Amino acid sequence: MSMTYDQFMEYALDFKNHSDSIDDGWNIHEYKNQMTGSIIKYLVKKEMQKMNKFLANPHNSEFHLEEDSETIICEYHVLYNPSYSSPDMFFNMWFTNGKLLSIEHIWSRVHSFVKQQVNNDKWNAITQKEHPLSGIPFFRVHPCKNTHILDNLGVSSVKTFEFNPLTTWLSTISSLVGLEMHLSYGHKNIVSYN
Amino acid sequence: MSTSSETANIIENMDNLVGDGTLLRFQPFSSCLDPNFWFKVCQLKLDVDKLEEVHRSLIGYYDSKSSPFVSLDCSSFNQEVNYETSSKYIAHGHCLNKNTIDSFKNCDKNELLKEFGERMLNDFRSGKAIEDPSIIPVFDILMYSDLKKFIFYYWFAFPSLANPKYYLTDTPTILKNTFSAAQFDLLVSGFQNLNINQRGFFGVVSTDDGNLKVMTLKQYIDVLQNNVENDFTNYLVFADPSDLLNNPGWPLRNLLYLILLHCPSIRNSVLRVIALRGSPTSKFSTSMLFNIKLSSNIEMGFQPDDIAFVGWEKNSKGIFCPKYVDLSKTMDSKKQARESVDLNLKLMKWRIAPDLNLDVIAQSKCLIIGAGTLGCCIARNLMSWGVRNITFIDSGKVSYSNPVRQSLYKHAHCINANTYKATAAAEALREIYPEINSKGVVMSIPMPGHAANIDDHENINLLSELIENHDVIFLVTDSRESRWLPTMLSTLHNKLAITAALGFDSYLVLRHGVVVQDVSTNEKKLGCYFCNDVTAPGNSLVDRTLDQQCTVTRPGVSSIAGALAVELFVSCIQLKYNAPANATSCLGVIPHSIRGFLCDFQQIMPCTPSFFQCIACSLKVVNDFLNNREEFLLNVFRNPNYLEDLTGLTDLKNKFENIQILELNDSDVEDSETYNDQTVTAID
Ligand SMILES: [Zn+2]
Repeated sequence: MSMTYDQFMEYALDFKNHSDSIDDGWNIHEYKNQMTGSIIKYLVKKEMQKMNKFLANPHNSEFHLEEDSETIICEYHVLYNPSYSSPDMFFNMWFTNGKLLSIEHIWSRVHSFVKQQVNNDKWNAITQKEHPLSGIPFFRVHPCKNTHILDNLGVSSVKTFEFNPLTTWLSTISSLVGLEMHLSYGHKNIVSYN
Repeated sequence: MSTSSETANIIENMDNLVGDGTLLRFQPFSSCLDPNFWFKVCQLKLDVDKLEEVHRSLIGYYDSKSSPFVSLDCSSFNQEVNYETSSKYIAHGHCLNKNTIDSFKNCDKNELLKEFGERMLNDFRSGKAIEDPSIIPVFDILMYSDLKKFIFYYWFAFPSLANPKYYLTDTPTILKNTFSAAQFDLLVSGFQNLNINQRGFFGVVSTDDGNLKVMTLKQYIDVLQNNVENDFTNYLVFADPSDLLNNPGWPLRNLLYLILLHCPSIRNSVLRVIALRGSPTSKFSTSMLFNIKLSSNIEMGFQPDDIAFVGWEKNSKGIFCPKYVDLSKTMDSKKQARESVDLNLKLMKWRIAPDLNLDVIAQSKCLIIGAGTLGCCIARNLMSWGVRNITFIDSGKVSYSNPVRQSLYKHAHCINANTYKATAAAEALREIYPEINSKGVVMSIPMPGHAANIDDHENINLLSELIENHDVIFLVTDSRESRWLPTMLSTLHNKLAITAALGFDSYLVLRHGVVVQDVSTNEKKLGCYFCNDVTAPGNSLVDRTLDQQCTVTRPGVSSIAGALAVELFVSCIQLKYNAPANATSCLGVIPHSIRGFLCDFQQIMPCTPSFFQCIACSLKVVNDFLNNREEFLLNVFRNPNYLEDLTGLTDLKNKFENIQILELNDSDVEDSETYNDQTVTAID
């Protein structure tokens, strides 16, 4: 399976338009390569989430739900990965004091998101990697998972889709990264893509 | 984080006067910092402010979507508003960076808050805040940054006035009860026509026929002040960050004061305040309407004597005190490198080999004897595996031919011929990875048959000590003779030794030294480099031509052999050294030796037991060294035939004088006639 950058942008714009209509907070950011002057666009969303404090300590085996919850800030970047010809999910999470969550924290969150089917494979799908544009350490859903998912969805660059494949892909991996996808993304008017 | 339960504490004074209605409580702001905010703080402190305690202007952002936070990121230091965040509202602030933790702790916090508040009040009094309402919500940060440890102490203040008190005349209602859908549409379009600086605070007037007009705060105050004919209803509007239904957010507290300061005539009236909630897209559908009036004592709070400020932020436990954040994990480049290196290795463990013991690798102390092509290659591969302790032994200096093949050296090392390889290599490792514990020992290895140096006895003791203090010995010197002593000492100290040697297009990697327990074969030791041949190391350097001394090899041979040496070590150490030939670890088979040939790109893994007459690792030799050390060594260094005589090899040789010795007993090897151990000479 693969999608071209142009297709990716087409899907991304469509996705962003729907996000705008429901105030979901997705934006398109631009990165200008200083060497070549070329511009790379990608989807960005930044949101706050409440996290129960017990999750902040992954080593605490006791389930001890405090009423108090901690606010964390989540930033999601959906980039185009030219090597895999697929979308690429980078994300970061931090506390309100600016301290990034550790990968153990992230995994403990993943754990709670995919309670039904926790398996090692799912955990290992998330890794830490420098952001390809900013160079800042980010978490990443390993893109080999993406192609796998998109393959399962039967997505290919020559096919015509009933749904925006980017939306389908995002809703598939959203649970891994704690991203809530509004149901209306799936219910919106069916448009034909090519 | 601030939660609803904490809001009750905001107004300490509970003098809820009978008849005044419900005391109005504001939800305070909380601070929210982006990691890149701290990067900018560091950069400014190091490059610009240095030792000055600078008051620096900042811009913060908040929104009206149920999140009572003022957010700051690296763009907060720019003086221009970031229009990408045009869906947000602006707050202005200052940052005071203290130079020492003491001046941070000891400065008078009440005085400071007063100072912050007075600055705000000046803008209120002068009317500047009416012209530019984005300076109504203000914040101040008192900060101390320890840039060596990447620890930050900070305390936000969102200054506001302690007085007057405000009351609700009735229960707040949702705005939808008052405004029609058409009026909401007018509100949204009017809002969108406002400049971003005006969007946080403005006014609307509505007429009975359902018309609605949005105006700037200044226009609204003009309406209030001129008190023109009353054929419309006016509303004060503010973007409300509160996530509490019946409590407005902190910006309203400042706004009310500003309005009442400039419009004394309405201090007796009820103010209709719209708390704008949601976004233009959602048509601010969750907005609330508050009807607010002052306490009976309408002058209280406006007399100079009454002025007092509140606004220090509480920490996560709800206590008024500074916050603290340790960002060394993200900001300290050394720690960051360490984290990333470890993570990379852990991923291998998690994904591929769950039983892989990374700790035993990381903790291994590795001694590399010979800092040439092989030594450099081995060191780099050890670092890739997360090894933290590496020691080099070499007596040579970096020469002009070295850097292209020996990956730890540069041209600069060769100039004036005064850089020792051992020290240069150790230094290079630290440049590559600062967390490494690397050492270089400049020392020549005493060799049999070479007339003894004065230093030799000292060097033997030092070498013995070094071998004893390390866990694995990589034996990669440039001559056969120089391997003898380290081989013997590795056997003596029962250390895993890995020898690598190169021919022009062939290589040998083999492990020996440590005793292994093989129940099935009763094998105790694996053969060393010398077990496989019967010639004791004489002075081969003497009658060598130049070509032989600087053995020419295909460049790839050393990379292959060096990498194999490290991989063999890693596999072997998984079984805590007790790995008989071809034992299996979580990484697969652990051969005794690996021989490869680039002429046909073949590789074989022969296994040879220890030879009881070996001149390096046999019991006879080791015991003689232990028991008659001085005499033994003297003989070894003076008499080239001593070792062969001692082990009985001389007799053996005489017996089979005409027999071509095959160094391997493996039938596979007999096929490859091109290989002859004599050609395997290590390369420098
Ligand atoms: Zn031997």
